[in-house]
Amino acid sequence: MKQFVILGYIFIALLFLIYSYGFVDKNLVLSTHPIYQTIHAPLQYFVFEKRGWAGMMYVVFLLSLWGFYGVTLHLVHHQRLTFFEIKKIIVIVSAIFLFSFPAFSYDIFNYILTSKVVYTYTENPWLVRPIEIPNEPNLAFTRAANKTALYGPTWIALTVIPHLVSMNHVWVAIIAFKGFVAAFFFFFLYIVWRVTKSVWNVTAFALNPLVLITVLNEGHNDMVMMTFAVLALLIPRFKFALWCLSVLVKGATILLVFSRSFAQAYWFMFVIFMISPFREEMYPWYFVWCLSFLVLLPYTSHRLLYMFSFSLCFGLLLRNLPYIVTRQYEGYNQIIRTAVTWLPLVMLMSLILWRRYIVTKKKR
Amino acid sequence: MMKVIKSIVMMLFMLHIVSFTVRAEYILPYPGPMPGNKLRILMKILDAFQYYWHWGNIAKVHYYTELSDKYLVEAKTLFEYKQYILAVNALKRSNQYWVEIQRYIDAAKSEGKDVTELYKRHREQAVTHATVIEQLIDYLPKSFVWQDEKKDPILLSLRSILEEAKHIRQ
Repeated sequence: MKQFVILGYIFIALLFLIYSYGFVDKNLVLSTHPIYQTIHAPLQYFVFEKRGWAGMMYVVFLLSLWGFYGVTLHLVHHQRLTFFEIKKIIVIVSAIFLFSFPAFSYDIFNYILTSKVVYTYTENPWLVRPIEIPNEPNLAFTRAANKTALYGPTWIALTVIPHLVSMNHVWVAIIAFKGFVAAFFFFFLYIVWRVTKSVWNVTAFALNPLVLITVLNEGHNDMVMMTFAVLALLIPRFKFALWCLSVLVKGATILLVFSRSFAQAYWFMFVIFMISPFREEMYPWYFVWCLSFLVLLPYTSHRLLYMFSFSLCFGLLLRNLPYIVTRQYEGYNQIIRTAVTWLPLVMLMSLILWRRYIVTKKKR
Repeated sequence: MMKVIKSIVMMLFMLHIVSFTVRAEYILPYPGPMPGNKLRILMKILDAFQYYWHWGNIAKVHYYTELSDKYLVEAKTLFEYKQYILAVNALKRSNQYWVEIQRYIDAAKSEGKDVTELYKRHREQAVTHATVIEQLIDYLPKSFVWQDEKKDPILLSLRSILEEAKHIRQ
């Protein structure tokens, strides 16, 4: 069983890695090497032309990742997977996801372009929009280039590291930015381990499909924001400074100044998560805010909260499905996205209520 | 029920069709706090701070564009209220900032940035500025002797000042 889980995880992750490169924007040439071109062309055809199948493939990935995730958590819970084996799975799967192409979100290109606006063109990113430099080649495949920087000074300052590593090469930049976020991800796992001393909690975060896709595949900077936020709660001496650093990444952690515990912090972040659609929409990676505090809570005393969160994670990942199938964000897709987000949670709640009904019926 | 759904779908569809494209011309801002206003000192401090906030050549173009517009509108308003000496000062400031815009566009160009759009916008701004100045030329006297209390009179050659402002913007 252990071998099956380890090999299965690696197999699914590798398949996902290949699948993700089908999502490379048509205006983005990652490599002109003939081998890459030969592999990439049918993949792109599959993703852009056979959208129904691509969508189905995505569902298969989700089910597999959730399946392996459940089995792994079960094995860890019953101590049938050693700490070393879990570390091995986490490192290998994370590495594979790190080298995958950010398939379902274009935010990483905004990070790359914003850092170029600052460090290459020496322009203020909060005043100058990337499209104001029309000869910038990244504009061909970057979305929302008509906006000034959406991120705070902490993030902008930190991006100097991946920017320097990228050496103006797009693919290297993607990996550098994702690698930078992954460094925070691993540091966060270390924090979880130090706080909980529980392999289960570390696994619950590290292998959560929402984390794998939004943090390691898409490279969202929410991981950076949450690392500072969690540290702020853990180190009272530097609470204000760390909280400021976190808020100045994206601003979502502003309410945490009032929180005194991880459980409280979870609900504060959940409030922000719930009001996020008023700004734009409920993006899947926003739930990393809540997950970061959830995994610091013991599973045994917060079982329902874990189930609630995991079902919401599943629903949030389903939000990508309508886009994969139709390649559109607007119109009916918005309604479908909302429906699929809450569907797993509604199903879970119905299941719980049904089970309770059966138990009470039996007692009578 | 289906009729209602169909009507809603039709309405949404019509909304998409009826929407049309509009192109905004270059629009000048409303005048800020005028000389003598208590908030004017705040405006000046903010402008000074904004100079440092607008780092980068393109950002500096934005900064000087805003200032040039602001002082031109101020000049126009003051001319309308016959506050000629203050109006002339505002117009001279607007001219100074105008020259800076061109300087920073050139600096951005020398950095390898494509300034075509920036320059196009600057030309639109020039046309709008020129229109305002021409309107002023039309109704203002060619010259005016400004007499402050207990001070020597000053001859303001309004026509030549305005012509110079127009010339800078060509």
